[in-house]
Amino acid sequence: MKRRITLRALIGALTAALMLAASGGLVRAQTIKNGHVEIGQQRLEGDRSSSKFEEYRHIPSGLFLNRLYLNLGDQKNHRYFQLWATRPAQENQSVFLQTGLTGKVALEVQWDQTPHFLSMTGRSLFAPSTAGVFTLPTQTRQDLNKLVTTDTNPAVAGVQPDMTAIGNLVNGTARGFDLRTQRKTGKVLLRYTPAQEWDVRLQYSVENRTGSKPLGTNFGFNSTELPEPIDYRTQELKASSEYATKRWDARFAYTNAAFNNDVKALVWDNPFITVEKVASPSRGRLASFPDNTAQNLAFAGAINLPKASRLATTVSYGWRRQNEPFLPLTINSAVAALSTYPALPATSLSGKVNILNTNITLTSRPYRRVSVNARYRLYDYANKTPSLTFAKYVSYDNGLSGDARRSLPIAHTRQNAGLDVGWQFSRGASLKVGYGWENWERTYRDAPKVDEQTLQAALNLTPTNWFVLRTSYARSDRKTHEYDAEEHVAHFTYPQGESGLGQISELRKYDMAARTRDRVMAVAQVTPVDVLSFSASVGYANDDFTKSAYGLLGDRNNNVSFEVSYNPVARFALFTNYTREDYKYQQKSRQRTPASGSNPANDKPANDWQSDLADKANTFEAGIDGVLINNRLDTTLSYALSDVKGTIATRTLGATDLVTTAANYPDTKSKIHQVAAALRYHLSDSVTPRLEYRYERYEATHFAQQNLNPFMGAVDSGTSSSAFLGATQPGYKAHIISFLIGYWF
Amino acid sequence: MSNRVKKGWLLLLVILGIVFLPTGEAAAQQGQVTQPAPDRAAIDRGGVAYQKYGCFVCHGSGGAGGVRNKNAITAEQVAGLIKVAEGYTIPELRQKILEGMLIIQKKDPKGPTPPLSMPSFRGSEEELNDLVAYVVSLDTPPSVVSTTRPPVPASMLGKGNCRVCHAAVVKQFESNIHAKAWPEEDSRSDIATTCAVCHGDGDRHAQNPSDLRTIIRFNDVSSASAHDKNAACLACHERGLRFSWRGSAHESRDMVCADCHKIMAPASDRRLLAKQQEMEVCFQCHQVRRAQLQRTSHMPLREAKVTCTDCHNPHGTTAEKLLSADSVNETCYKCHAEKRGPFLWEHPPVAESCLNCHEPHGSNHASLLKSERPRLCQRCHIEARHPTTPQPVASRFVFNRSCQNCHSQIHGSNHPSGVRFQR
Repeated sequence: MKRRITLRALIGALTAALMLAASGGLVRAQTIKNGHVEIGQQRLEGDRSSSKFEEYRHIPSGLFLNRLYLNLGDQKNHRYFQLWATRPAQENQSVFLQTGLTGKVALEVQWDQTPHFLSMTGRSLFAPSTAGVFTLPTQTRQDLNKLVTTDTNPAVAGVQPDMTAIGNLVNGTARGFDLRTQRKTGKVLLRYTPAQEWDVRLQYSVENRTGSKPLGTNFGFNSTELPEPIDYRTQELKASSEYATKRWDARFAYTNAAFNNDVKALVWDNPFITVEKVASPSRGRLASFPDNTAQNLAFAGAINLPKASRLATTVSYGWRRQNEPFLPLTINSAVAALSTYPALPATSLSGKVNILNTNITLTSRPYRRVSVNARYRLYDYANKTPSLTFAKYVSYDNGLSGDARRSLPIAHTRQNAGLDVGWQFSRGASLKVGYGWENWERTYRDAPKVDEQTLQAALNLTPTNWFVLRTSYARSDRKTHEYDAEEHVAHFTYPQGESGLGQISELRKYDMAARTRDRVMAVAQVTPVDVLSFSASVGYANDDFTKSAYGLLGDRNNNVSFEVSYNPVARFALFTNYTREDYKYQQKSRQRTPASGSNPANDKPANDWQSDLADKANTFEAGIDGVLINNRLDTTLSYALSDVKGTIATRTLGATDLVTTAANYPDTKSKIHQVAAALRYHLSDSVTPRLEYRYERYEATHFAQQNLNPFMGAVDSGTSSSAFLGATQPGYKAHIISFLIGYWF
Repeated sequence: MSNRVKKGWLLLLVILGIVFLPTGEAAAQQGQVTQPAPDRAAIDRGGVAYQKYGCFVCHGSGGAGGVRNKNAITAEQVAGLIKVAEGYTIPELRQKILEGMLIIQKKDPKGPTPPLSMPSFRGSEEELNDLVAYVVSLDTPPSVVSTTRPPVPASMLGKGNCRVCHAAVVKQFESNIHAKAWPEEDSRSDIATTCAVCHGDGDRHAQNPSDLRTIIRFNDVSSASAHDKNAACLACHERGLRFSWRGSAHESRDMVCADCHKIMAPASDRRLLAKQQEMEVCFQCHQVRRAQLQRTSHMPLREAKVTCTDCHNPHGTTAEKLLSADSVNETCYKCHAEKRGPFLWEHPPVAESCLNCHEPHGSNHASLLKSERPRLCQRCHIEARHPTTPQPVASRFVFNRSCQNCHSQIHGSNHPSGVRFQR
């Protein structure tokens, strides 16, 4: 149904385009000015059994059409028609068409397909389901249930199931399938220019996303990972008009966007429980992303004043709505049959968020060498969604919780103001200093009011035509006026602080915490002689969370890059670039246990622990571009490497009596090598065959993906009643050999 | 004969050759370059024609040359005319002047078209003869360069005459989108005013092309400030995407439109970009972003399915980081509208900014996360029990999707029992 609507919309748009073309005489008197078509034959070799190889692309083997370009127009260039197509008729095709009468009317039509290959090692007990309903044969469930409830070692407390047998059954039953999604996007833009100053645009876009991706679901600590079916459609209609003279500019825009999800809920059988009872869910149900709409009305106006001044303002008001009917509290019929099973406080959310965004900017040059910019911005995210109180709720379709829950419509208002003054103190040299202020006021969050002040300076130097230097430094100081760590708990308990320890009071969440921030950046470009150019950049950033005793304490990164291009003769060029990045984080936590029965709570500094995380990345690329036979044969050779290593070191900070698992995680590593070689032979001005070879090698080591299988009991014995997908993204080695012929006409 | 003896003979032959080689004058007498006897009156008349037709503008007073002509094979200058007679016969010289040189050979074949070219001669036959005589007579540089420059002929001034010197560039411009916007035959404009729209009035430039201040240039050698260069573009383009250019991040760094756009010789199919790919334009300064795109977790930028301007407007916006939407999240919702909500159960940092957890330019961690799970979640969750334990690596809290093995609806849940983002 949805596809039919999309198809109709596209056909409608194309029909409109053709009618426009016919009535406007776009097709009439058009001649082919030039064009290009490229076809190729491709062969793939190597171990390509990884989704990473074709993560966002499709690399065909055999004959394929690589590119198509067509440029039609009349002699005077008044009418034009251009078509670009990349990889047409393939999974990752992209087609762009534009036609129009210059300066009068323009029509753009775009079609794009983007695959996203997530894993080709996924295996599930369930068969993939586009409807989102996952069922298992009763016999399989009974067999699994028997295995997990049969104690093989009565000498040990608790049920000790036969893990090997469960593993054999789960891994043996699970069937493999690809996890991938595909986006198909169509876009039509009609632009009409009634007068040189006046611009009117109408744009419609539709995107369908289909496929499946991994999704974790659970019954308590028992996980059942599912291939979540994706069937999304997003549409957007935008109309805008702008009238701009040399003195003033005014524009209006209206946008209406709608998201629709055809899979409203996921329902799945519990593989390990067959009989539905209270505290024994045989099925689970989860709400998928709900349908939503968003509208926005925007106005922007600007007036140019004397002294090269400009006063500009924008005002936009947006409405976001979400009113998907609620699912029941549980799918567990035994729980739903309880006399205490409560009614829902509403049948749907009536979710309403209104967003006001206003800006005002004044820029001026009171003197030829002095510039002044002043700005103010208000972004008000007003959440008008009603707060709903649920008398009880059902944890993972298990049983009725004795506690109530209340939803909180979080909201925030953000204001920014700033003033910059620039001074061009010499030809090609300017200094800019600025002050910025940012204020957040939040509702239902730990820090209701936060202010940040920033001082910054920037120096731009272009003293000669062969040297450019841009540097900047910014220092920010963020203050949290008050902080209530218990506000966090309000999001999942009602009445607030019902049980447990609550949030540790000295935690300051990093998005709101007091912080000093330093940012340094420099970019230099040097071209000492025409044949040699060099550019380099350095960056340093340090966030110090000065008032945070727990949570993220520090976030520091630095980077160095350089790029060299050497072109000693017209027939030869060499290029290389290198970037090194270092990222470091430091965070602190405390293992805590609440009071339980006669056991008191354990919440003391001795159980603090700290983690130091680091990522180091080296990225290198080098290549040559050369002519082997003048006007006949040229070649390109390049090599690229991305090498990243991540470490997570964890340690306790005192004489702990609780923390037993503070240990370093294995390093994560990923490395991508890419070698590309091309040989182009200019057979004539219009025909160029080329031979390409590409080698790609991807290596990855990640502790989270080590030994991943549907059954993970061998890794964590606590997962005897869990089933995963075992979806990994292993390394690959691929050789891609292509022969392409390009024809220009 | 040893090698040393051979080299000795060769050296002797070379020296003898140099000593006894006929001089240029002798060669001329032998008829290699046949020149008539100098006619002083014709040379003087030729000097007048040299000025009348503006030859001096490019070739300099007295044929000294030296006017810059970027990427011209003649050392990127207009060639001087001193001793031109040694390279041409009289008929060749006549033909050269008569036809002009509309295409100047490039020093770098991939480089830009040299801006200056030589128009064909439009004078009389007598003037041509005189001009040839004058040019042939130029055998020494002028000893004294006149401080007062002769007036430029009217044929090089005013409307429609940019192509007198810039024929190749004007020809190239005809296929440019700007030429379509200002067609020459349109009553509003001709080629001179079309050029003047961006470069300013060309008359002063024609009178003294070496003076960089006489015209707005957009290349590195320009004396115009960034503001003045940009003002030329903004005169027409300060609307649409450029609405907020003034005061924007790039404007405040003294960037000019021509840093990213090459109007006369674009490298891209669309938008007149300085590089073939839009991202490469941005990477000229944002080199770290190029590196981040190579991360194992990335958006399809390197596959050319997404590009920088899908999220950013480099011409200036009212939002942070030059985002084209009103906020970070509204930028992300363009492609991830399912996460727009509002939801019954909101995860507050998610609703405020996706950047609290994600690094959109590329990450070493799954799903473009800024850091590894479970540590990323543990930065904020220090309540009690399992979120507060460091967790061993061989644990359901760490492997696979870590916390999202159970809390999968972390972007928000609309399920009445989804308070902990599990339903």
